[in-house]
Amino acid sequence: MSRPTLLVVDDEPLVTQMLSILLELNLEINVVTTNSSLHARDILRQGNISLLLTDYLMPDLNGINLIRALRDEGSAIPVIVLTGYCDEPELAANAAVLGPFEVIVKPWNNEYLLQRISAWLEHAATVQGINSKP
Amino acid sequence: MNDPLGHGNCVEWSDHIYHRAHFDQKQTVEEVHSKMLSLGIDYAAEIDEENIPVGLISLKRLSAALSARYGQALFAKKMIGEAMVPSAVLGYMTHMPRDHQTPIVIPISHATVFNSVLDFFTAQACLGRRPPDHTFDDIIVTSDDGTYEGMISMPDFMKLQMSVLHWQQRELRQHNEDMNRTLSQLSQAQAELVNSAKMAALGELVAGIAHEMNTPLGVLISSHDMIEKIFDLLTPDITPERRAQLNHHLRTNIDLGREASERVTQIIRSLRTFGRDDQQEQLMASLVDLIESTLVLLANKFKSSIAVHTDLVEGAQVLCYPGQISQVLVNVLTNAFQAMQGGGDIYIDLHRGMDRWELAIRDTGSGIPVHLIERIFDPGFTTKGVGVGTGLGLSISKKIIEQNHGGRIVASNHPLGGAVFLIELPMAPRESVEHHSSEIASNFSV
Repeated sequence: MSRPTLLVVDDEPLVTQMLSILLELNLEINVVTTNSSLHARDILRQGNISLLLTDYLMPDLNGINLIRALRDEGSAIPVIVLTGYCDEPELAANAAVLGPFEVIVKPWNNEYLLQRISAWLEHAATVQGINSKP
Repeated sequence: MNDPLGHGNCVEWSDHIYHRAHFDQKQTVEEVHSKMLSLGIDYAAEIDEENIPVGLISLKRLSAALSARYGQALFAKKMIGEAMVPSAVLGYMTHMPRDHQTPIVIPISHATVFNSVLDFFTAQACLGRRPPDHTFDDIIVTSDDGTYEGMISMPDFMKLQMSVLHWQQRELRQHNEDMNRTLSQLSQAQAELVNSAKMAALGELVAGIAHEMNTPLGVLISSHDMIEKIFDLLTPDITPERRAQLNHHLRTNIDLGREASERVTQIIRSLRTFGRDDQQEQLMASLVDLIESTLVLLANKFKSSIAVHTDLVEGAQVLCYPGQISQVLVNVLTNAFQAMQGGGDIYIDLHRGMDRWELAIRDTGSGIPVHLIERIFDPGFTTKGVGVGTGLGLSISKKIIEQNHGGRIVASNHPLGGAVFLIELPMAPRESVEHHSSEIASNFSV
């Protein structure tokens, strides 16, 4: 089975660099990072991403708009929103239509983040397995 | 007791105004004398049948006349009208014809204030109707229709005037003290208002600042964990390639951690500048630092939709309350942000004027409606919806720039669209800059 690919989106290069090292050292996955939400949307359209890990507040598209763009493409991949501030009214108001997603607040705990990423990847693999059965 | 001068509410007059005496010409000198004695009256005015004053007499003079040799026989049974002199000048106890000298009669309308009485005397003297030296004149006070109201002597009048002056001085002193107290309360209230507005602005920034701090903080914590983990992985049995890779990760984590901690420090420094207590004396500060630290506080707010372009001349030192200047910058920049809900650009230009630093903050929003430009700095004026703004931001900014710093803030519309706020601040004197150079470092380091 091929390694799943995780897309990390944050306009802050410090965060994408940090997460890239953290994930590659700890998980058997491919990590793609970008600091542009528009670029992220293009990557997601290619359809080989298993999990999206995104910041909330970014220039151009914020986290919610990025998830919306993802869902508009018909993708149901899980999303983890890694945000510096959890009280985002827009996030709460749109929770029902954003598909599978989870919010983790910065500053994050490495162990917890890795654990949640693994759990979501497992979930994604299960869903994919079910969907691929005849 | 009468209050002929109409100033009963100013001083206690009763000690000074003479008793009113109803004598008519048919009463005898003896009768008037004993009546004055029994009433304890020092002076008496003679009034005619129509209650119009026609003469004056003092008890002293009357007594002297009666006690003189043959005085009783000569004067006692005479009608008072014949004994009294129509003179206001005491001591003129003579048999002058009645029309030779008339008493000074002041209608109340002329005498409502003391100065008017003095003016009246002066005018009389100028007309040659009274001798210029009227120090001992007595005054009969009448109402406008000439009816007798009361009497007063010039010395007593002067005493009264002094007491009124003292009273006025006391009132003035009291008034000044009240004004100073009110002014001090007002200054205190204004300082509290400025501070409240600052706290309100800070409250609105908190979410963004929390976001802005949690990002580097997340990197810092994460990098620390990673360094620890990499050390565990650096066992003796790993391949040189793996060792090199882990060493590279180690170095990257250390660098990321350092950069993240610098980022947190920068935010805390900006917060400290914004939140500093400006009640004390002014400090020398760099306008560029103040602008940049304000942008750090607003970075999160602006990040998703606003591009900020700065052109800042270096070396712009101002003697100021740094927290207050930050407050003004936050107010003006937040307004610009709110004027561009769909996103846009903010241009911040700082350049050197003749004797002032000129800071222009321009946005690319819809601009200020022309009919509102005049009112934009009025307290309570806002075009934002209920709960969006207090309407105090710009009025407080104007107070801070103009009253507290001797500068100027004006709003206008840019020819290419959008609003422009021009803030002028006096340049710090050179010697001040040198004097405060060491202070800057200590005040702006964390």
